[in-house]
Amino acid sequence: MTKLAIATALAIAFACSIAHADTAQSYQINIAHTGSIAFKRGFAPPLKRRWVRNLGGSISYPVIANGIAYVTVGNDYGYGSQIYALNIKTGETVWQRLIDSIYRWSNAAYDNGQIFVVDFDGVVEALSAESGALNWWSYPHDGQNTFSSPPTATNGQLFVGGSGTGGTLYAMAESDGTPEWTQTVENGDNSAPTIGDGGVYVTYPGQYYKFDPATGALIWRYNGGIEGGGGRTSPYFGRQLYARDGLSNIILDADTGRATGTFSTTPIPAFFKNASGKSDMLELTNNQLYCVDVHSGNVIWSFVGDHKLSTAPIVINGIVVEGSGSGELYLLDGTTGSVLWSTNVGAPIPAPDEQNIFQQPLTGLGAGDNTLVVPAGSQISAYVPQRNRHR
Amino acid sequence: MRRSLNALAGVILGILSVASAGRAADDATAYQINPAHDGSIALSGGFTPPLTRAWVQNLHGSVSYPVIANGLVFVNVGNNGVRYGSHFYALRLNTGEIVWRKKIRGSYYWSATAYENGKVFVVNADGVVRAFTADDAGLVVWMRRLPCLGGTATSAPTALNGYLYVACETRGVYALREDNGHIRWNSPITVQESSPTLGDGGLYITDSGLYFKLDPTNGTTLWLDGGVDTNVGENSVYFDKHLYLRDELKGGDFVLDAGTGAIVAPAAFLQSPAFYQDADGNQYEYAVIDANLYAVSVKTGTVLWSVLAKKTDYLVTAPIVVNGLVVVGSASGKLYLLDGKTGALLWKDKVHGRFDGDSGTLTGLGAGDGMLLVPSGAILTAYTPSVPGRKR
Repeated sequence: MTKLAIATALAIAFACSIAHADTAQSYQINIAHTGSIAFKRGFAPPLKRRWVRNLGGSISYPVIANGIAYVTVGNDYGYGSQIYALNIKTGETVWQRLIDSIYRWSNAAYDNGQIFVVDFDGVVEALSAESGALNWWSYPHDGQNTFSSPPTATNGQLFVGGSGTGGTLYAMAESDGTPEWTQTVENGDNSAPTIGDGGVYVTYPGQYYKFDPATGALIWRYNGGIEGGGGRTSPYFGRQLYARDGLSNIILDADTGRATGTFSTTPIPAFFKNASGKSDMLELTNNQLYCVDVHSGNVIWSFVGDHKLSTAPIVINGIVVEGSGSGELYLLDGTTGSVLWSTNVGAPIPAPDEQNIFQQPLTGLGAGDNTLVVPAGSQISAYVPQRNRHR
Repeated sequence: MRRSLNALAGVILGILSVASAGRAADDATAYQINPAHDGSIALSGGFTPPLTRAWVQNLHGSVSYPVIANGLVFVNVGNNGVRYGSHFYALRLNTGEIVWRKKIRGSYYWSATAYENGKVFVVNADGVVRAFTADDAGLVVWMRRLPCLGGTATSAPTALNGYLYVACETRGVYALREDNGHIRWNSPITVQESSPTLGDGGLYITDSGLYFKLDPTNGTTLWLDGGVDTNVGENSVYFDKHLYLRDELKGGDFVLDAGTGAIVAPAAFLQSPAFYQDADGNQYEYAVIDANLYAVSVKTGTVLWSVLAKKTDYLVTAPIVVNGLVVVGSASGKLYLLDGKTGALLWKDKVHGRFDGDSGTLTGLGAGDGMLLVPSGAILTAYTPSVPGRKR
């Protein structure tokens, strides 16, 4: 390899790393689904609402890249959904596409300039993130007919889960949708593939898997002795997989698949390193938010808010963001749990429903491009710091 | 020599009369206006809003999509709630006067119509096909019963280039000679509720899970896709070398390359979409989905503009495009005329009745011979455009 080629490769790698720094590319912001992001320009309250829109149907978690927030929106009257690309600064529609499928579920992921949308029927569309033009599309050829897992895209590969007759995890090329491998799983629903530690993970009731992303080879399988029903999305953090399946929450060693502990949460937890460099997990249980030391399991602080806390938490530059069913939006100090700022977004902020996905896309808070994006039913709001301060 | 000249003159006159009695540019000859079912028409006299209500007729049954030719409008009217069967009407386009009415006996309330070459063709659910002269006389030219063998014919017919294409649930697609009703060919493809679509030298049959392109001259299969006939089909649309169809087996609406049958893109439309190409070559798809109207760029698939329904009302009709203006109706009976490029509202009206498309009669908006025809339940309303330069 010539020096020029090496320099070019390094420049591209650097550019990619820069491009990803403020990008929210999946459910719970990143491909590990940790719900954590660090804005380069800092993030400090008070916030101001930059824009608010009503898109006429239930709004998904946002995917944010290159100045655009992408959301899927369930149709209000009939079946089907739509994807909107919204200018992150103004909320204006940059482009919009119709997604035809039975029911109202579809969800999206971003990588390398493309938005990938999966609908309930299993139709995958790869769209130009800039223009919305269809680059390629595919549908399952193996008879699976129920798709309810948000997609995950990284490193040139797109991972999609489907079910119908048993379940299948699909890996396809981001560039053209070429199938790379498939793996049979039990049973394919409601689990966005998770990336971490050289593996792709999916978790269904009693059945957790780690596959080699490159080949699809099974690295390990945790068999809890049961199977059936829809799973949940499991975050990867600190060489551990926090496996959720709707029945239990088990911490697994990501290398071996051995159970190392349990945790307690309803929506997907978030993870971050606190001001002292220790790793913390944010769990929402019975509408109360707990910050737990990952290593000791000790509760560091808890927050009850208006007693209606609902959302899966996210963390921006060490500041915890949590929403409630009464529309309250809280920013909490990640170290102490004290309220730094709050507002009411004007509509109930629903809990993510990872199970009953027929009626709406999977929703959640999102952050990227120095902006906090808050879907609340059919309303979506964007918040930015009143003044950018580095923390 | 004189006899030869007279014979030659007769031949020329015959050719001219056939040509003039064939499909004129302003005719609406099939469901969604034309054999491609693309819902688009260019009226030679222009189509400028505001529109004026020319006449209203109550036909006391569910009124079908209109077929418009020779200064007449033809509709099927189901005898809903009375007795099985329907009636076939010819109305004067300018006045709404009923010129003639034919009783169409048979099972259910369904019948449907197509027009070409001076004849209107009516098919009922039993597969009985009738040809009438499309004039003030309404004479029966021929009648024949297709061997549907207990099944039903529930696909609107299509007529083009001297042949009438009729689909039968149990015995497939028939091509009948328009002049005498003789069967030219039969292709044993079971079809329900999917009107044969014509375009790019092919005849398209789209049942859910199974779709074909046939040679319209001999019924030879040019391509087929799908493989499992699972359900009732839906009307497909041909536009610019592509076929737009719904396939529930594959999970929704798709765009096919009309030449090869290959699926080239997913799509979204609840009812038959309408298409339009402007003078600059820009191509638009108009689709009613989820009670809203969307204009989609055919090139990119992105939404160009949308008209969102109010919470108390729903856009429900399949849209049509008249001279680049989109016509669509809402459940409560509101009729909208929109700029096809921008979605700007140009004119609206409230018709008598409601646009309720689930009456057993295939209905839809229509336009032809300088008029807009709007069925709404049992009511048929005709509108005329403004005359440029004339003050209202």
